[in-house]
Amino acid sequence: MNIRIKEEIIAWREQSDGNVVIFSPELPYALYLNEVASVIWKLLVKGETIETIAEKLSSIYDVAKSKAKNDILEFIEELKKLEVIEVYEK
Amino acid sequence: MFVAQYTKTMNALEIPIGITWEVTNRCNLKCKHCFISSPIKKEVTTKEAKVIIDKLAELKMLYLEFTGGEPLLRNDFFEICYYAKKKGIKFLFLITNGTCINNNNIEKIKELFYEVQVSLDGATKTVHESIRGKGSFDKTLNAIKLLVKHGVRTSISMTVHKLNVHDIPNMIKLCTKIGIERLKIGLLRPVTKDHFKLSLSLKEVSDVIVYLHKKKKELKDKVKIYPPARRKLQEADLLASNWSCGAGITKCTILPQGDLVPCPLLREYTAGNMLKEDFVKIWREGFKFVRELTVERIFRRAADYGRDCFNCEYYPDLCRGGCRAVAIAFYNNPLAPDPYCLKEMTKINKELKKVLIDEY
Repeated sequence: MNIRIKEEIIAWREQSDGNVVIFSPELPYALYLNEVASVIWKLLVKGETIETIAEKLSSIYDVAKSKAKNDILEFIEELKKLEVIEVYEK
Repeated sequence: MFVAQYTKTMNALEIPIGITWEVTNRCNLKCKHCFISSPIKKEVTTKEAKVIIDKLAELKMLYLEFTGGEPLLRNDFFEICYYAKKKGIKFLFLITNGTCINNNNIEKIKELFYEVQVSLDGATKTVHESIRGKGSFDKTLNAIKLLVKHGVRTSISMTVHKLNVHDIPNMIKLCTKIGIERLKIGLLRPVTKDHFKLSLSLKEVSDVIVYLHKKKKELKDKVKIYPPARRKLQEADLLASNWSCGAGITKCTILPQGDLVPCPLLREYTAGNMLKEDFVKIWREGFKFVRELTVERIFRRAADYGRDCFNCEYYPDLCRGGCRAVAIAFYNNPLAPDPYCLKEMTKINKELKKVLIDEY
């Protein structure tokens, strides 16, 4: 799975608590990500693969990698619905 | 849920998402519904404007929306905008009457702004100029056509009141004809005595919402209509169901002399000055006034005005007590409910209830 963040329609920043806020002129509201989503987002931006992100989440939060992967996919689905990312198969 | 649109726990109050900046109060038009009754003559210099931008860029402001007066009347306007872009403020927006847009500056406008919002209050010269003055219609319409021709994302903003409410159907037709994809219909928010005479009745407002809802469905993507009630929802881009809108919560406004206020309509409520004080300090301490106006307090006070807001089915997404500036203007009380109450409107207009349920 390849993910492209639609940089052309989003601006984001990290708050002092590490959480991410995303603004898009295409959305009627700003998106405030929670802690886990913020970690995933920052890794997605770096271009990390889902496998790598799952490993990192698993290590940070001491959860099974499969559970971490599910969370990542769920978050990606939310972002896809919001149309701030594009997902396509390799 | 990973994305929280409405939460009380996020650290969103830390820094606003974006800023509206009235770079000047000078204007070449004299609109009947203008809310700037006492234009601010003092303006920040180019150098000072850049200091302001430095501060905003350092805080990683996500957008800047330039407005006025007429912002293009500043000779250094493009210099300021290019500086903001250079400093990394990603999204710039322009709100203008369009009269100063021409072949000499269109490329700069295209390069700088994500969207240009042009105010057009009538689809015909007669209606538009009865509000904005003689000679304004052709200039504005030509500017809109020029923007469209050059592929600039353009929206038309129509402020609706007694003088132009009848012209909404014509405006939609005009948008379709000239290739405008975004029509933003905003109600005049009455904040001065002159406005009271112009503002629509509850019945008229409800008719507008119902009509626009039907048109929106009919036109689909041909013209995106942003009806007034929908815009209210958009403004609730909040971290929180705690407040009635984002003014002083997720965004704020800089006035021409550098003063920070919650929004252009609450211009008397200065929180501090961008040039004299630290922005973060102003943001955290200067906006206590609006932050104390919580939805819960507004709803409690609503009983004094014969409203039962706690049991209203439109809370929290649509109303949240409504606009504070209008409440102050009508009742001289920042905790009073907005007189444009959707629930009251549904009592007058049965169709509105269906629309609100259907749409929201």
